[in-house]
Amino acid sequence: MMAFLQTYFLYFFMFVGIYFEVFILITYFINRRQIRLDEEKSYERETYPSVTAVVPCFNEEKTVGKTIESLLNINYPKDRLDIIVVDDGSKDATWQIIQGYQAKYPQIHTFHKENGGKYTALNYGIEHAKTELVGCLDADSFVHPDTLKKIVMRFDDPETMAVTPAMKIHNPKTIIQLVQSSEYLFGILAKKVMAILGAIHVTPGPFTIFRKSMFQKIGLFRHAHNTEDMEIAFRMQANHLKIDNAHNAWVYTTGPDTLKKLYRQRVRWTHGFLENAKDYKYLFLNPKYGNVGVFTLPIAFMLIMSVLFSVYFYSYRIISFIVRKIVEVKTVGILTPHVEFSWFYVSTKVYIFLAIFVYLLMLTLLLSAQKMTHEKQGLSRSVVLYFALFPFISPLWVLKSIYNAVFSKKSSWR
Amino acid sequence: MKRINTKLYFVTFLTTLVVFSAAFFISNYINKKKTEELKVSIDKIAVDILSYETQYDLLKDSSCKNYDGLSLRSELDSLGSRLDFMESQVGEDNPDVSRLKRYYSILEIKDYLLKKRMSEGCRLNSVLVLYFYAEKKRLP
Repeated sequence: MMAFLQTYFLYFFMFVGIYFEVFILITYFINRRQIRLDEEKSYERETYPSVTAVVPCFNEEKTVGKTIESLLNINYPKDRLDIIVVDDGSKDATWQIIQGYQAKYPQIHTFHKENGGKYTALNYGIEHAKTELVGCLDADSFVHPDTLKKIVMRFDDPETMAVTPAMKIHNPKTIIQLVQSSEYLFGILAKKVMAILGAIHVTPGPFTIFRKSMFQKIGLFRHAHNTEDMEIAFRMQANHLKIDNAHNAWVYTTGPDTLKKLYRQRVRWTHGFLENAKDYKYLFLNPKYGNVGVFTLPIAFMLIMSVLFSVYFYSYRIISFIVRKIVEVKTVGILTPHVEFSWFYVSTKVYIFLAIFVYLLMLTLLLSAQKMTHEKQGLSRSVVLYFALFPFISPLWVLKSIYNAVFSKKSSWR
Repeated sequence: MKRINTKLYFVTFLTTLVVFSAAFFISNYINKKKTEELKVSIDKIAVDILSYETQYDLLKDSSCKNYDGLSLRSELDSLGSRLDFMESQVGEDNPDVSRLKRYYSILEIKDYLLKKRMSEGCRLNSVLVLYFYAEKKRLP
């Protein structure tokens, strides 16, 4: 019975995983031509809407300068772009640095407030913005000069309320950053596909641009389990507001460089997803909310559960093997093991082939993402490291996130 | 809000089913080949044992120098370990592997009897032990 249930769940979760990959791949291939045509459209306009970029910062003395410089270098009319930098009660030299910029550039406005968390700084900036569009740029992220124009052109559609950019890892150096580099690349493809289906469930902190009027309709950012950028997307979907994506609008972010930092970030994200999913459970499997209700949210939840199951599955197998060996030794003692190297001993179980298909489909998705983002195509070091490490490190934060969600523990920001 | 494209969901479902079927087909095909390989191995060992027995019956003591018990033992060990592995691949209830296991048990007994006979006939100084074991839950 136990073995039957294990096999049943194993196949079920593998089916979900393959379904997800096939779904993304088919949708991408159906829309590939349209994506290319979209990219070829000129993003130059006669007039541009006014935009405010809000930079919330807390103890960012090392990176805030670079973030502001990247905003100043944006290829966008200076009189149409305001930069609001909100110091959220930093204890380092952040405030002095940003004041230096304000003195030099009239389009920069700085504010200082008591520490209240990123979303409060962001809301503070949005409330002071006087433009049609408003976005946020984290102090650890940088934008490509053409990014804003590429994002703004997607607001030609009056129904569009938010446009997400394409996130890339800035200058990946460590193994952990290289792993994230491929993961983010896949994220660009997945986000594009989700935008086509109207099913985006996260508007990333770094440089998602919103229509300011949208905040008047559904309110500002809320305290939401340290994942405010996810909560606002859930809320937008709940209100049937359109979130688009500009897959060629690059935003570079500094990925965590160690496993410990990555673990903390991902616990926050995954735990945030589970908590937001609880808050917005009425969206799940509800066709009233389109593809986000019947695909994005249920599949994201199932993928988290599949990681949990795989941990159980492999732990059970390892423990069973050890117990069997102990019984064997107790019964017949230690025998000279029969050592033989042969292809015969390569496992040919069904789930091994399913796992191979999962990897092959993922590789196809990554190669498609490389093509779509004009990256060098092929099995780069980052792709190899992603395949070799990600399946083994992701259970770490998934387990902790589920633990936090079940026992109502809070995830820390840093 | 984008309408749900049920056709897309259905096509994805069918494609996923095809991928699943392919995995089942490939796995079954290879496992069948492996089982056939085991059958060949069993036949070979059976013929080897029979040939030693026949040689001994024909030539008595003079067949001692041709008897290679070690090589037979190694082939039986390899067969045992492959059967064990195969059982872990296709499950304990697989009828082909169960039948091969019965065959294997008989070959082990035959090998024991042959060894005993050669040991006595050829005056070999060897201690012979024959045992089988199984987990309690798998005993009848």
